[in-house]
Amino acid sequence: MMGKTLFFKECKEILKSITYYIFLICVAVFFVSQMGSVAAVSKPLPGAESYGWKYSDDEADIMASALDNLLFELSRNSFGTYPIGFYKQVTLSEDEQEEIYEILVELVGKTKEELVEAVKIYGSSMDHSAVESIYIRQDLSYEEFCHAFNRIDKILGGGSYYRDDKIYNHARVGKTYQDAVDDYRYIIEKDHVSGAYARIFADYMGIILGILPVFIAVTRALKDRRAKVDQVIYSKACSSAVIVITRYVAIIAMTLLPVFILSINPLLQTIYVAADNGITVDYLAFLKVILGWLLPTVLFTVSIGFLLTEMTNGPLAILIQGLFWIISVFAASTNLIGYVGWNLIPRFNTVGSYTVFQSIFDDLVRNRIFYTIIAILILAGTIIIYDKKRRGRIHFDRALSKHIKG
Amino acid sequence: MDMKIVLNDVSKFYGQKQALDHVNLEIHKGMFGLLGRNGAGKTTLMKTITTLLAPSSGEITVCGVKVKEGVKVREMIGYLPQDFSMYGNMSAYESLDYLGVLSGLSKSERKERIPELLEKVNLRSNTRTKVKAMSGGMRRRLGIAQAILHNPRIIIVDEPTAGLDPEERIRFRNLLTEIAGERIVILSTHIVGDIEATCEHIAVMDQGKIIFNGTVSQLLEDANGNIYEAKVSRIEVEEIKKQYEVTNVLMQSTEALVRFIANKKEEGLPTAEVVLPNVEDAYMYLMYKNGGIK
Repeated sequence: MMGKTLFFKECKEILKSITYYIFLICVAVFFVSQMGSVAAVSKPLPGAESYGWKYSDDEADIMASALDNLLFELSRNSFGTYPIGFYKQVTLSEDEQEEIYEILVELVGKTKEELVEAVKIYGSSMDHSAVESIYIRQDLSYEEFCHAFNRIDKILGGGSYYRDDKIYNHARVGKTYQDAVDDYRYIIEKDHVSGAYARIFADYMGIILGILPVFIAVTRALKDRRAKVDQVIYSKACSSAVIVITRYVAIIAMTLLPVFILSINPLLQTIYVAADNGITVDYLAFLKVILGWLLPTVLFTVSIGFLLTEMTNGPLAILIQGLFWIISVFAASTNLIGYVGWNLIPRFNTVGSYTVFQSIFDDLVRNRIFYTIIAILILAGTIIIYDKKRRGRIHFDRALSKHIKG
Repeated sequence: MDMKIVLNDVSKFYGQKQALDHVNLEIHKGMFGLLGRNGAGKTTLMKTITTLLAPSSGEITVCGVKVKEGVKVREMIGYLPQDFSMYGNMSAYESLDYLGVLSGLSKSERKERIPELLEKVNLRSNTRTKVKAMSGGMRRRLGIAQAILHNPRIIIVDEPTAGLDPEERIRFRNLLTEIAGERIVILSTHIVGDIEATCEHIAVMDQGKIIFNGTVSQLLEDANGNIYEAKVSRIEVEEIKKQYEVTNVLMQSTEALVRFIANKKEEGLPTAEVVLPNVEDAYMYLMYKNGGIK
């Protein structure tokens, strides 16, 4: 009962906070600028000029394209990599270039001199015909190719598109009519339109919910001390767990409330589009992604905000979460459709691609459970620290702020 | 229920610095004054009783409950810290309502108690006034209202009159006396006048130690015969200050009435007469006896 009353009082307090209104504006602006409107879904017509593109799953295509891109980058000695998610331009030394050529000799069956000469001409003339005679040996298996390109990735310092798990990025092919029909069928039959749009909604909202809630959390956690209320609150009978959890849940609820409200807009649009196709949407599709996909991100972000603020009595959490957010966003920059791993912000920046989503679904579930558990553990740690501070048993602020201030 | 607070050999260290030095104290029902200069250890002592600080050694029991059992003790205590405030955007009513919830009061209890208390602390007309718009005195009154909101058996107030104007100070002292009733009220202050006006039992702290524990009468008794008053010319005042611990100087045109501490009548000051000490004199005498007045 006490918890419920406190929860509503905390929600009311959040509503009085300027930080919350800045959060609302940011979320709304981000939603309007990124989400766009739900396009009409109709069965593709045969004979269209283009049906979009997809990554090729043909190994020969992948090998040829990767080699082509490698020769181009080698000719300019300028390689794009993303070691920790950030773009990094790599220039190789003479020795390192030699190593690359040696690997290429194994792959294409030409001599090093021939390769060097061809690449040199390609670099100076930008004439692709100079390297057209260089192609992957017929007898080379895909595994051998990947192994060799992993070595190239290593020479580049890691994080390149030449690593086996990213090498598919090199081969884009146009979708066939059948591909387009399959996409349409999945959107209608499996996603009921709403599922496809719920995923892209979660993708966009996930980006902003990976950082903004930390501001609300830090503001709330600092508020007691700034208002000189901490000592009075500490002296009250209410348990530390109830105080921390009610504040936490209130922030989560108030953070997700506008997200839920915003989701009504695309949901209504998908209802209209689905009706046009004679089907009924999954009315809970957006709610499912909010609770299953976005909630763990918010739980984690707010937990970090609470814990670090309790430990430091300062806004350090914003800096830490900010760095974590940047790494998370940029780590996915090489694959915006279906990047999950252990990233805080899973990406799925497309409408449809149901089969891709199915292939990453288990990873996504694992990822979301992981962040939920971590968030709960961090929250438990926050309660313990709050309680110890309340009893005067620890003074993180003295120790840490001394170090931080130097 | 044993209505007393017992501190048994309590010490508290902040790193190397000893804030409480083997404190032994029993506090019974009624107004209890804790006097001492700034930094004497009063706030630390109060916080250890209020469960906000864990003693480094020793034991504290509040009405028979050890302070280690945090929640049970907090239920019994109403605490007004030295620099009390509330969220600036909350009104007086909202503040008490919020803190009432934290004290475990039901909605009906809060609805009944809060208007009563606002009336009692003379904030009835400020029910909707935001905390940020309140004067220092109003905030202290709001502070005492929140301290007694859950009807605690023990009220601990830390330097409640510091920074208040004389009128507010008197009003606040009266309010404390009024609410004391059957409770234990601990008033910590460095202002002797507050103690004089409200408390019969007092303890005086210095450098983390209790250097006096008894009644105000006993404190006065100790100083009796050691406080002198002399009428001297203004130019003699500085010379007297060098020789004696002066407790008060009252300038009167070309002369000055000086009160000072001395063990016996001094020949050099024939006009000096022993006088009855007031509490301020007695406090100064105590500090003088215990290592001098700083």
